[in-house]
Amino acid sequence: MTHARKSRGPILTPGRIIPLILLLIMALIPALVTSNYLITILVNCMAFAIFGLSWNIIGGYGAQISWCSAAFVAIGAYVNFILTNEAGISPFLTLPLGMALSYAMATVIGYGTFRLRGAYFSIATIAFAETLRAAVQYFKPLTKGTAGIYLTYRGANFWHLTFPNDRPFYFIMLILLVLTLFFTYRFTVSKTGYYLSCIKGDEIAAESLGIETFKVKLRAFQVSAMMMSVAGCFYASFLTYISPASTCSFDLSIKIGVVAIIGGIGTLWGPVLGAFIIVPLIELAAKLLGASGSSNVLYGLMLVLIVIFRPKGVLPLLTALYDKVFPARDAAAKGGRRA
Amino acid sequence: MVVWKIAQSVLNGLLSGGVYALIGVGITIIFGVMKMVNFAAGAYLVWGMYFTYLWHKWTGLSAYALIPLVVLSMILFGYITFKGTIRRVIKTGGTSFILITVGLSFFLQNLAETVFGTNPLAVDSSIKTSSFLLGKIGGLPVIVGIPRLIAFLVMLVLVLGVNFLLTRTMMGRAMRATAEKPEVATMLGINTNKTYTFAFVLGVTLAALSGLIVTPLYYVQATVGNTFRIAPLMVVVLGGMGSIKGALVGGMLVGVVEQLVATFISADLGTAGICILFLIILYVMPYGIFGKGERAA
Repeated sequence: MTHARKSRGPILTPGRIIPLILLLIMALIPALVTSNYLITILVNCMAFAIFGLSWNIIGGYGAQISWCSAAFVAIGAYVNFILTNEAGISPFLTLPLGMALSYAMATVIGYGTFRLRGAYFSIATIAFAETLRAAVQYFKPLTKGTAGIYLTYRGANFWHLTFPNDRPFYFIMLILLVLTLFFTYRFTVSKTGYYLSCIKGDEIAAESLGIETFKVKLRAFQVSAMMMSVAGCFYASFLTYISPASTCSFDLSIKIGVVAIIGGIGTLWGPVLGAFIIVPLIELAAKLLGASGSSNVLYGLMLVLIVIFRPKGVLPLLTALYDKVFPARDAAAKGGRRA
Repeated sequence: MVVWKIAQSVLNGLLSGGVYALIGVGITIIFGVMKMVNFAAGAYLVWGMYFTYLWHKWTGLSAYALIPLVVLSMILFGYITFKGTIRRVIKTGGTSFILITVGLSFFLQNLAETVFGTNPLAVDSSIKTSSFLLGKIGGLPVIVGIPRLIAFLVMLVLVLGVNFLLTRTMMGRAMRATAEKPEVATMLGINTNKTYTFAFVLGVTLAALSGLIVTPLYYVQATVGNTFRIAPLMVVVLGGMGSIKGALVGGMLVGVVEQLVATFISADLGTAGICILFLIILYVMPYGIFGKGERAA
């Protein structure tokens, strides 16, 4: 590791230039596009990319399939709306509370299930998400039950994250996406990240090498849960209305998982790619087919097909292309890393 | 008053737990043989309900008389979905199983909603609301709903039948051998692929029959799948994965807890009650009540 950092390779490798170009394009889009509808879809794409990246921490890098993403989104969203509406507290200040609650919930689920291998964790996540939804529907004075909560509009106000249109959210989500990508990258090259990839490879072998698999899996799940609730907090402000059906449903958890799986499970760019493929595709399908049930059919079908035919997702197609376009440089970069 | 409330909800819980147990037995058989948790049982239950509805419209017979027809439809449906999807990832196993059965669950349930619409349909039945008086506690009547009782009895017959199948027939022996160790089973001349197919089709047929026996209790619509998505999974984990006795006991336990919570706290929290019970059991007995010691499948 330290060796690689000292070696003087070119600073501007294609691997660094391409993300910068993408970022530049993304930053310029609002100036070029007049349609607010398109901006809204792009904000949705970025939000799902962030959700997918958060899911990927435990589901992709750790191969522990979680189906309770929506629960953490809901925690972030409800903490934000309740405190902002009732006490006028800024969403930025509600973030730590949402994160703390998500951390606690992740600990409760993980503590019981990560000692066991197999599907126990997945089952427990579904159970937990359902429990939280029942609780949200039950505590009506606080959550308004199934009716949901509307965010009080306070004019164009950055501190309270209310704006007359979605353009400011475009930049907020873009910044959050870049931060999440950067954080995810740092996580994968951290000690926990390496341990996690060992566990994914062979859990028993990892344990025999002295890795405390239980602790590592729990840590990754806690991190994933906190990221999810941060994203949920901002996403809720963007939606301006939340209900158990929209933020705390099994449907949402599935969609988040599918985004990461289709893009490329356990890869940095996979969830981003997946979100930018699926969100517009579903939007299109909903326009053409009408009913919402049919777009859910598409999600289910895509999940089944991808597991059968492309278990690694769509990203490998792009990386193969990348290797073709930059063969020499890539080889040099690899060589540099080895030296 | 309180004693009566408890007695009535325990009774209701035992009877509704029977349905959970039947789905649970289906899940546990599949798990025992191929080590796959079938997250899609609720979706197959929905299709079982729609098959019952369609055959009922077609023939006009009562739901219980349609059992053979629904079984045949479901065997075909289960076989096609198995060959088309799960069969292709058997070699990969593990995570793929979770992803593909959850995908199937989501796909099949929403497919039913797209094909048949969201309007609740009903299978006519003369016994829908009939019930009989079991006795009185403190002057208040303890009532048994006839459809619930029949559902329970059908469940018992089916579970006994499955037990007979597993212990007394060649196919059952082959399934148990595969459950123990697929490699050795193959060496002994068992076609494990056939056993997997049989186990899966048997498991989802039990889910479909659960759908049939609840038609007098629920409207036929895709969202019923949500009701039966979680509870049967809890049942199987509670009882111990792969144990039929466990699924039976777990089913009753889950049914009773759900009814007690619904009666004494709030109907909204019935599912939450099951989930909390499940988390507690995971902490205390990670492998369930009958886990490990019991023979798988």
